[in-house]
Amino acid sequence: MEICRLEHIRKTYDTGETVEPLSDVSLSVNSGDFIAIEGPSGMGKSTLLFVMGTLLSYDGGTLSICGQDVAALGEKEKTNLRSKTIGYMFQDATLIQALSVYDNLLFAQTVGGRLPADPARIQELVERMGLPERRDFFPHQLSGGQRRRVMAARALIHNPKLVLVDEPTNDLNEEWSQEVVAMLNDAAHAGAGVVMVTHNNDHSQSASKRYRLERGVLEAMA
Amino acid sequence: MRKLIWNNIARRRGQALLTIAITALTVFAFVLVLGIFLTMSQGLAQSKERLGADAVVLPRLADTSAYELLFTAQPENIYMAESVLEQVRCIPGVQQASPQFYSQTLGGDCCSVGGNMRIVGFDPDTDFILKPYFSAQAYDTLGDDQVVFGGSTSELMGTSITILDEQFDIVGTLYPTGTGMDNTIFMNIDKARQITGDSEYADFPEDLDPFEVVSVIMVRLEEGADPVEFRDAINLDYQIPAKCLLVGSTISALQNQLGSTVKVLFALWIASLLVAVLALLGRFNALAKDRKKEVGLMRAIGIQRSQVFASIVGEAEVMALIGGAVGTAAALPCMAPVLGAIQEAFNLPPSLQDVQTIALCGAAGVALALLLGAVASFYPAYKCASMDPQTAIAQGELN
Repeated sequence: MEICRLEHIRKTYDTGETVEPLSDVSLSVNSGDFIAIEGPSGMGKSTLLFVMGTLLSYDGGTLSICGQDVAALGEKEKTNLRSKTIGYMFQDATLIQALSVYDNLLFAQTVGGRLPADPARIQELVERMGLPERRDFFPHQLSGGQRRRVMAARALIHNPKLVLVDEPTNDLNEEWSQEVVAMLNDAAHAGAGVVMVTHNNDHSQSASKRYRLERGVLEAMA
Repeated sequence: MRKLIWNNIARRRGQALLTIAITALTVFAFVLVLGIFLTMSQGLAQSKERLGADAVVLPRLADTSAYELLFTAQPENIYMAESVLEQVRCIPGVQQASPQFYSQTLGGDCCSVGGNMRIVGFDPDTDFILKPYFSAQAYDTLGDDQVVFGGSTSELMGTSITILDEQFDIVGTLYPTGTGMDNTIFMNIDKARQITGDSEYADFPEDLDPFEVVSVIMVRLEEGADPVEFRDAINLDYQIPAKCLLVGSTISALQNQLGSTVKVLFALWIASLLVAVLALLGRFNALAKDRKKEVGLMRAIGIQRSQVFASIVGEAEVMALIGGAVGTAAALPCMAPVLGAIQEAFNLPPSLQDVQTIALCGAAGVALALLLGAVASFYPAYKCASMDPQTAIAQGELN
């Protein structure tokens, strides 16, 4: 089942001179896909994830998620779509600073009527990410790696159909990097479409499809 | 969301305390000024209503101001011939005229009353000032051995006292009026004349017969009668050894004086309000800026703009509410001493605070705090909520 489809997506920025990180990007993300997107820094990988996540408008082409044309959606509908369908893991360590690990996950699980509160699911992810003793800690009391693991748990807490992760293994040691990638793989096996942006070749080996973004165009890798 | 609002406040305790303090100070000043204004205005309005007379006629040469006569309990031993009463009654427009005879107690001559107190003898046949108070209580007329005390001495009710060597029962008290009536002893006019004439301590002029003089004449005018014409009829007729003071104009003058005082206080308060609004605007702008990345994240995971807006305004309102409650709670007990100091400094009549005024000031203080929170946070919250999530994530810092 196709979850997300990009056709000839174009995105430009005007920062004094016109930059075009996405010139002609087409991609289909299906249920069960684990897609890795590689490429040098500053080539527009994060921009692509923001566009796919409806967080950034695009200048040309078509984007549809779960059969809905994103261009036709208003701000409220896009927010609902994000809430119900998409799980994010940003490149920067972004957690809600005023909430504990547990409350960050509970907030993400229930926000906008996503799901009813499910403490068992939260506990399962907290344990898998090795944070059972840190569940009542606040973000500023965690290490960078621990925050990254909470973000991974948060991206998956509501069983989204589309998971968008940007450099998920930043700040993580090898052991936890592998565990996070394994968790993303599990999500794909459970039916989600996972798109991972990474510059780490080792981790992208686990993906079912690999692409390289260069000069604004996605090219399939062998 | 409620937990998020509360945790955000608790997490930035120093900044939250600053916001609360700014709000509390602004509300404190507002409640104080409002309370003083309302209490004093009400006091004057009540005085006007309760005094019941439109004009007071007193000896032409009496060195007494209308203010002292009406609003203080200062003993005024002033006398004029009782015949003035008939002259006054003959002036067109007079509906009722009732004489009063003034005397005073002496310091130490009564075990219950310290210092000098004004004694007012009233004429039970013509009185229209005190009777409304009496009829609202358990008595209609006073016996010769009975007195009524003003409103501020109600604890003496039911006891006996000695006044100028004679024993009296205190049978009643008046409602507080905020005027000199509150510190006055009332008795029948002939009894007042008799004890004053008999007492060697009353300092009554030897050449006068107390039964042939009165101190003042309280006058009520017919509806439509011009008080100024009435006043001029007395003041410009030198055949009448009396002068007339109009109660309404005395109170109006005091109201004008109060109005000017309050205008100055409100102007100072408005200046402090503007400073507070600017300070709070700066505070909430900083709060919204601090929260940029977090807002981007919240928008990304599915929080609507309206919810982001509500969370920031909610945070501001919780702090404003706490500040408002603190400011109000601090201002209410300060009201009475500040009121007293202003009355003393500006020579204004005493006023009594009532529960409704205090409740109104309290509610107004909290409402102002909420309004302040809303005004200062709406724009920063709107700006923050309107931000593109990606821009917020890219530009924001996590704090």
